[in-house]
Amino acid sequence: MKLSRRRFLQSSMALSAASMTTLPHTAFAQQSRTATSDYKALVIVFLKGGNDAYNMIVPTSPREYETYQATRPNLALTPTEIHPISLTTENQVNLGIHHAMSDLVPLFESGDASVFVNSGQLLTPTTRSTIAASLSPLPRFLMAHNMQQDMWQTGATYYNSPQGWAGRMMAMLSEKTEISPLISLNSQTRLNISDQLPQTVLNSNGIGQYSGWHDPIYVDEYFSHFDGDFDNIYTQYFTDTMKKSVIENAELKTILESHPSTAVYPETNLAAQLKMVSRMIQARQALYHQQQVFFVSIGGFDTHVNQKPTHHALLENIAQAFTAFNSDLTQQGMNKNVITLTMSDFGRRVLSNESGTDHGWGGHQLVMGGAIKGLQAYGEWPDLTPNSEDDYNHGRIIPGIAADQINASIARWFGLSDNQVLELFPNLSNFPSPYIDFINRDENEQLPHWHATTVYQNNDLVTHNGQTWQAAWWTQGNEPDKHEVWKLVTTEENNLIAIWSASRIYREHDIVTHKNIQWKAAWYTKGEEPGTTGEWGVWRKKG
Amino acid sequence: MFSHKDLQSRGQYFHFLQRATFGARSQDIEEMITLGLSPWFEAQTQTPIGYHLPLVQQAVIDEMRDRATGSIRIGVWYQHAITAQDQLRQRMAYALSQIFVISQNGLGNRHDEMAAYYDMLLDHSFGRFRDLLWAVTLSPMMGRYLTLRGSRKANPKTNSFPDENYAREVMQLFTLGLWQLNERGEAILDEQGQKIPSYTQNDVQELARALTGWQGGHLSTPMTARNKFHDMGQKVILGTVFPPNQTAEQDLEQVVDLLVNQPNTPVFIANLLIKRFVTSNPRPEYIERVSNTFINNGQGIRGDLQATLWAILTDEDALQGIGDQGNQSSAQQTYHFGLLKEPILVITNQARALNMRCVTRWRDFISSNNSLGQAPLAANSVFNFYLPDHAPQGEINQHGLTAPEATLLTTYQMQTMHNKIVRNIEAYRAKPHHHNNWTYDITPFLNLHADPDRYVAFMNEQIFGGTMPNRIIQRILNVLNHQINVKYGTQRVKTTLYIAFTAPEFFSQEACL
Repeated sequence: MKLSRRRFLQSSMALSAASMTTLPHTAFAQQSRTATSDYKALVIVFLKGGNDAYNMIVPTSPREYETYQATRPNLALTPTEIHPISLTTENQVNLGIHHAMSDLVPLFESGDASVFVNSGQLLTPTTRSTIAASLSPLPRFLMAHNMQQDMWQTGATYYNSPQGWAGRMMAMLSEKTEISPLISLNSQTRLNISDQLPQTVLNSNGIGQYSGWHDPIYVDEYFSHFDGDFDNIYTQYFTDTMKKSVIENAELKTILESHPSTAVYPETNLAAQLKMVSRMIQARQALYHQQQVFFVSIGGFDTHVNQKPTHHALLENIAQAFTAFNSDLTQQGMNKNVITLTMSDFGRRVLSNESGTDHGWGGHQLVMGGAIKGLQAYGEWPDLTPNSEDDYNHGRIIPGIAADQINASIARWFGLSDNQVLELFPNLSNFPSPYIDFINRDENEQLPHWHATTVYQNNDLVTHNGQTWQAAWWTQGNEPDKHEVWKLVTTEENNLIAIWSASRIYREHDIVTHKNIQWKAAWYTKGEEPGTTGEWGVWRKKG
Repeated sequence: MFSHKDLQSRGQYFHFLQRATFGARSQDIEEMITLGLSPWFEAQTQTPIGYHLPLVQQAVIDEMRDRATGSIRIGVWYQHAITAQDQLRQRMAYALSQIFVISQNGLGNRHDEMAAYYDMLLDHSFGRFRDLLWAVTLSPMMGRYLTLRGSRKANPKTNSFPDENYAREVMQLFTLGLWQLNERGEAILDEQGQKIPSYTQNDVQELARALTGWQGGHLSTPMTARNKFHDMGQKVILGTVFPPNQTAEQDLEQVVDLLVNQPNTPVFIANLLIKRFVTSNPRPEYIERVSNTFINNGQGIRGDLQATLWAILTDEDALQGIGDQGNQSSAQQTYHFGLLKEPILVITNQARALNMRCVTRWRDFISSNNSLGQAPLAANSVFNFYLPDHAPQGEINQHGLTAPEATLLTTYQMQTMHNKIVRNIEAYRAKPHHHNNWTYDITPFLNLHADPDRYVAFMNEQIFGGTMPNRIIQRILNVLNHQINVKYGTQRVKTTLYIAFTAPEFFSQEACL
């Protein structure tokens, strides 16, 4: 498409005016305007350099605290430096948080934040013994910054792929929009690379203006460069980038000017990035974005020396920025639509250096948002004793949760099927479940309560007096526990036994019948037909 | 010492100088044609070194400051890039600073020490790789940046262990790279088709032990060994035994020899340097030829950086403009030759084309880090401003090629870089009290604009060394003949400079055949 100055000015005016109908994707846009409840965003906060997670989340149970203290005596937090957060791991260890993050304590207590304990890159469930017996292939170049940063963004299997998992996910889900919903702050990131969609790179300073363009000749001459057709691949790339940047700059400027930030944020770089994210979330309808993925980052975590003061300041910075972002989203009413998740190259070694720590493997990640199931921590607290089953070597702890299981759970929340999730993360077929069940099911997908005036068709499900019932034929006005049309379909473990339905969500251990065969769900699923998901898929023959 | 290779056209000299300097000026092209390629190169290596630290220290004294600032250090850097006589050495040191990375992001306000580090790179730019690696390892700035300074042997009392930071990065980024490479720079694959790591975590741990015990140092004084904190036990690194009871110095001697002599090192460094000077996508043959020069300069010496640089700049692929075909046909090789200029080079090219100078003192007039997304010794991490194998989305990625510098060309950065280019065009107006501004003399342009043909020939020579694309020439003539009346001379000059300095060809480094 030839882009003239006139066309450029027209298109920016079109954006600034309300006449959005002149742009493509109208149908999609109208749909998105009515569907805020379906809107979802993921905000990745990357802690660059390898966060010393073992000094961010600390056990408060006496036995585990003692081991922690003995393992790193010169760096261990003292009990007064730890704030309890009333979260317990799956193996019943109580947790506390570094006192620099005390701002986050209310979020843990309200259930708006939680922790993935000891997560990291894994291809298969792994322990010290399985490594010794060569039973567990290890992710490539553990402990190398760039390779590990890439793996969080590509998944452990496709670390060599130019595309990130979020880029691949959005290519499966999203229609093309003028401004791509794969949004990174300050520089391109692997996470948001897709072969279908471009990546939007925003600066937290906002959008500037091209100087000199009050003179129309300058604009004409700049635009005339876009017409060049170059043999040299770099010159052509630059020309394309010039053109794309001018258009994107103008569109983002218009959109951001009509979505100013009204919330108060601390004066930090991380907070400025999250503030920009919040404005893009506010602008989701103007952008025609049904889903958005954001990547923000904060550096300085490679604390080989002088760790105590450096780490303290970094954690405080995160806690303040997260708190501000959470309260901004809550005020916008968007808290349930956004999940914020930390990632970091790796956890650091539990054993220390002279005044810092070295590269390790497993670490803990924070998660925040109204959609998460809080009030519990995910994962098991590992045994930090040197040479334990959880020790890879010298206090580099083997993760219990695969980072990809967390990613997969978010991809499912965004709307991918199990098959699509396993396409992104093939390594997860090695795990009992590809998912960590930390996200609440959508409210609009909960079963309806039975109602006397509603008409029910064959196989419809309702809840009534705390139990789940399925209609055997057409019915109206017959109360479930009083009439034979309603079959009780709840098992002793409170799981379902029902006729499979494509529109219904099933939880782990739910049982369905489909084509006269009983199937049991291995994890949360929706829309996948029993008998089509393969031997290791979600539906396993009950027997 | 070098074979005499001369170039076919004036345009080729221009392009050669674009690679070898911070911008080819008309007078540089004349000088090189007069001298010949090899004598020019030889003369450059003999030109007195333009050191950075003395100018930084002088600025601190003159301005009665407590310490150097980033604007002073980066201003001195631009001063040398734009005006220094030892252009080839300055350009080489800049390339080395993007391999042996230290950064103010992590080192804070130690700008005088960073200038001293840069001077160390200048000293070794045409020297031996082994000496460079030794000096980098013991530099107090690298010691602070990658935290080797103060690393001690394991201490059972505190359950603490040697620092692995430098040990890891010296292998991953300064010598071996992650994967074992053949002599053409391609990854070697095992029976399963997998790349083979060039070192293991155990090598990192063992190397960290061998490098314990270094501390102190300041400015150009290297760190010194305190053997009380050095691990005297036996180590095994990359399959080589380091016998027990070696001092920190003895272990370091053995470490440096081991790393320099690894088969990966020549080919790994050759690829990185070619990407800084000539093309983002060298053919394996090109990498191999440069690597062979690194292995042996013809006199049995390994790691001769001067010979390596000559091999890079005068290789047949560089002079004939041949790049890697990627996954395309070999007919595409010519179009894949070259690179996207990093924003710093765009600005120094512009400043040298305009013969820019400063009003009183060179400062970081353009706020390099913010407006260009990069500044010397200011990368975000030891991984530099960009990764050498970065492949931006689109044609470059699809063709199996790389363009590391594309990392910096974000929508935001494109606009801020544009504005600095415009600001430089406006800088002729700087007044004496604008004492930290850069400026240039606009009169040579004003003297000619009324004669469009002579004017455009002059611009062509100043900015493109005679290689200005015809499309740009026609745009400029159109403005002069039809758009802006001859009575608005300044406006005619500024507008036409704008056309030339925003032309896509100005932002890429291509071949000229």
